[in-house]
Amino acid sequence: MKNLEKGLEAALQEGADYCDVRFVINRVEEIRVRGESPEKVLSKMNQGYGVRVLYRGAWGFAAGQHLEETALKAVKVAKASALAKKEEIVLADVEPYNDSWETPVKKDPFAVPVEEKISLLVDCGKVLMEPEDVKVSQAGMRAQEQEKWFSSSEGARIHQRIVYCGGGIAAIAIKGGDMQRRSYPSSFEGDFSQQGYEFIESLNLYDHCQKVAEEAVALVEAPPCPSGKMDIVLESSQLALQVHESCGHPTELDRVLGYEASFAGTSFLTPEKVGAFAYGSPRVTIVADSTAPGGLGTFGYDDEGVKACKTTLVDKGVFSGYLTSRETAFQLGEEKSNGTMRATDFNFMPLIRMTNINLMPGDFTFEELLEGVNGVYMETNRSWSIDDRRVNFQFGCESGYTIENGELKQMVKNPSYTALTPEFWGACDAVGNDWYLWGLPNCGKGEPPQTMFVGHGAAPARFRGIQVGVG
Amino acid sequence: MKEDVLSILEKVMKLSKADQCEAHLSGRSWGLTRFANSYIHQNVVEENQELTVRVVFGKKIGKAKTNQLNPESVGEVVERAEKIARAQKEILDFVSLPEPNSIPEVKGFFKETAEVQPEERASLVKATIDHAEGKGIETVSGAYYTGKEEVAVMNSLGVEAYFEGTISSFKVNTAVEEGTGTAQNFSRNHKQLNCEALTEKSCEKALASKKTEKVLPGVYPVILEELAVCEMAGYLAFMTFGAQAYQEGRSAFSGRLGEKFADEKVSFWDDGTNEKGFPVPFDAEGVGKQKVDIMVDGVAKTVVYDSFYAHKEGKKSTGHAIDAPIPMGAGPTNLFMGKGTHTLEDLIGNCEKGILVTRFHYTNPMHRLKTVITGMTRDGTFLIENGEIVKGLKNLRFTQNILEALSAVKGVSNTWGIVRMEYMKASVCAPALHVGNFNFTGATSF
Repeated sequence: MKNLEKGLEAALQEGADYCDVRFVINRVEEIRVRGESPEKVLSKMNQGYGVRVLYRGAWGFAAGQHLEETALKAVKVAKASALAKKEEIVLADVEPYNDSWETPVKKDPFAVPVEEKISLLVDCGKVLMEPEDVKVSQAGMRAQEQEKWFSSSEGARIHQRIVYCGGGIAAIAIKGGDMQRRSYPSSFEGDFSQQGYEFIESLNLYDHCQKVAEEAVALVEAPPCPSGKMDIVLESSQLALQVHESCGHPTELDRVLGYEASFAGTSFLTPEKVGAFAYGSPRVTIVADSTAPGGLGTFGYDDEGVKACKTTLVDKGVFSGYLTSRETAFQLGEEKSNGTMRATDFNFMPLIRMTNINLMPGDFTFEELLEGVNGVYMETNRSWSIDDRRVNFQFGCESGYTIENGELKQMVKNPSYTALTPEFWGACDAVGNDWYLWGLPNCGKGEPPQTMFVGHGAAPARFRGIQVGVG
Repeated sequence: MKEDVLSILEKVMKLSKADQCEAHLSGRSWGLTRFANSYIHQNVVEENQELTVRVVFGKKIGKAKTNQLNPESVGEVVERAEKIARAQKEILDFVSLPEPNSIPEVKGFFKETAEVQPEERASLVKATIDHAEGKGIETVSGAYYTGKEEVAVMNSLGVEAYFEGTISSFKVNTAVEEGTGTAQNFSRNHKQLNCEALTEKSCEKALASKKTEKVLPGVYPVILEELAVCEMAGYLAFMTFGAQAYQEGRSAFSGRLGEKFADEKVSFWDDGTNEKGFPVPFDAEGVGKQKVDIMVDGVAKTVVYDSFYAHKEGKKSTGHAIDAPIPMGAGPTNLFMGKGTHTLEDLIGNCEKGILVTRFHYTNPMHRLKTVITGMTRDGTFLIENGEIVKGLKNLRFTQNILEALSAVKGVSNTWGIVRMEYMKASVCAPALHVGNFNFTGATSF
């Protein structure tokens, strides 16, 4: 266990009432191939201390390379914060754990020769670029190892080693003034998991290149998606982002309490709605689960030293809970935080972040979801936007198919749908049984912006009478 | 210190055995104070530096980064970059790192801004909260940051560049009943932020939009205030103004330079030396900045280049390389949209019926080639009738082709707002616009 005692001692001697110290070492390897040529092959390493203190009920945080100096700066900042405090910040209790946790890894992604990885992605590029109308292709993979030590003045001593990796491919076809993109296994860098290189191997990126390229070309030629109110079936990676934007973010209690009001906004899920608000139909149950194996939001302990756990956010359609921190849990009258505080790196103050926010599976097969439907099936996110209380949203997808009398028919391009969050989830009358835990490495939040890796379990689902097209 | 930074980069040059080598150092020492519910909820200071080494063997390139600057770590990062390069495949279109070039002088460092202490930021935040609450505002939130940044680039062909600048920003959001307001500013000199005036403006917005009413989605004339236009211009630049998108056929300008894309009142240029924005005298490859006219009187003139994409066309870099987490080729980093002659009040006065938008929220591209974006209005959306603001409106969703909006510009303000994206080290200065047709496609509940 790395000794962070001097940081704690320096802060307490300077007057801090509470202090926690994180020492973080990051290692990242990133390979991106554009067309058939490597675009970026990067190895990144960084490390440092992040010290958080409470002084007379006010926060201070400092990041740097020298432990004691950084701790003293944090106290100075907290003393400044105390000049503009209204009430003293109080933290909900936590058991001071002394423990260690790490991602189970079968094949160390950093031990696989970089030549092998580049060759795989270049080979992908060759297949992706084969059709004449594919003008751009992307193939990439990324691995990150984050080793961190956490010590608090309450006695916690925690060491964790988190490893995740993943990748994806995409083809962009351009013809006749139109441009269409198709990705695998999902958009925006692909899919990621808290596993070793065995996960990247399981994606079989090369085997999917031909289909992805052909679908990009087919989309350019495809007719536009019909518009109007109709039934839709969403593929699970699109639903993962839907859960992210319309359930994950609005259940972050810091947002709800107004801490993000000037930046990302607040939330329509205000505290009086807990246990009493119809968030969705009885088919909709959503949980936050930081214990899910392989999830990007999985860990042993959060960055406040709270043990990983499972919390129900929506229970059979009823809004039932928040993602909390020690500070916000106390404000809400909860005894304990449910452990969602994470910082992107040593130099960021932890914030409430999504862990694995999972839509629980139903019992419908894909064929049963389509049964009797006349509407549109949409897959793979292309664009997303939602208002600052997370009510009105609009999503665009890469690809769509008309559904006629329960059968997938014509491929259509530029599919999009728009709705208000409770009405949308209220229109969900079936969730599939083909459940998958997606990994999103790029959730943005906070000032300065922090990019976090989060997980979303989802299965395809059906929604009745949704506005398709931009309205 | 300049000498310390350059000595680290020199050490990289000496250690590297590659055919060509580039060292880039970026550092920041700053403090950010966030406030919400009328108290400080996040107050941070950070000191960090990052050294990036790019090495070239023939046409094989490797890149490595570290934030440890001791001699052992500097040697290790060079070795790591070279190991990658040796394992690489050739990048056939690569020609060379940039040659030495002229780098302009830019004033971007203000000693007092570099030395702002946490207590000063906290005092200003407290004064802001008191000011707003005195106006009847219920909740005040925002962020105030100050600090300094330094960046240096050196390469084995003789490029050597160093810049030290200061950064600052103040943003305040105010809320009362169902009304919200916002105001923000960015400057290299924190004394030019005018925090008190921003607070006053934010309060006025919130109080004026107190009783919001619904309006049906549809096509309306709009007055887009500066913050909204900055966001729209930023997306247009990201999708259209870079050489990578242009060469790949992903830019609306691809193969169409010289064509008219917008109203004659619309011009864009990038100028890394212009101190009205966030000047930096050179790009991530150490190429000196210059003014580049991208669109003049509505006509597309050029796109911006880094050395890789410039060499593909046999051109020289325009000094627009970006060291972004996701490679996106070159892009504007100090972008300006031309001002007009009208005041904002003139623009409103000339609008018979329309909607005034203070800012956008969560905007994202729907179709990049067609420059279609969607997003929400936020923090002050108002109905204009007979040239006057008559009431606050509930927020609306828009889905709009940017170039079509710029083709329908009826008036341009004589003012600039500014938005800076710290993580991209890029800023946009833009005026307010009167746009004849703007497509609102949905509405929300507040």
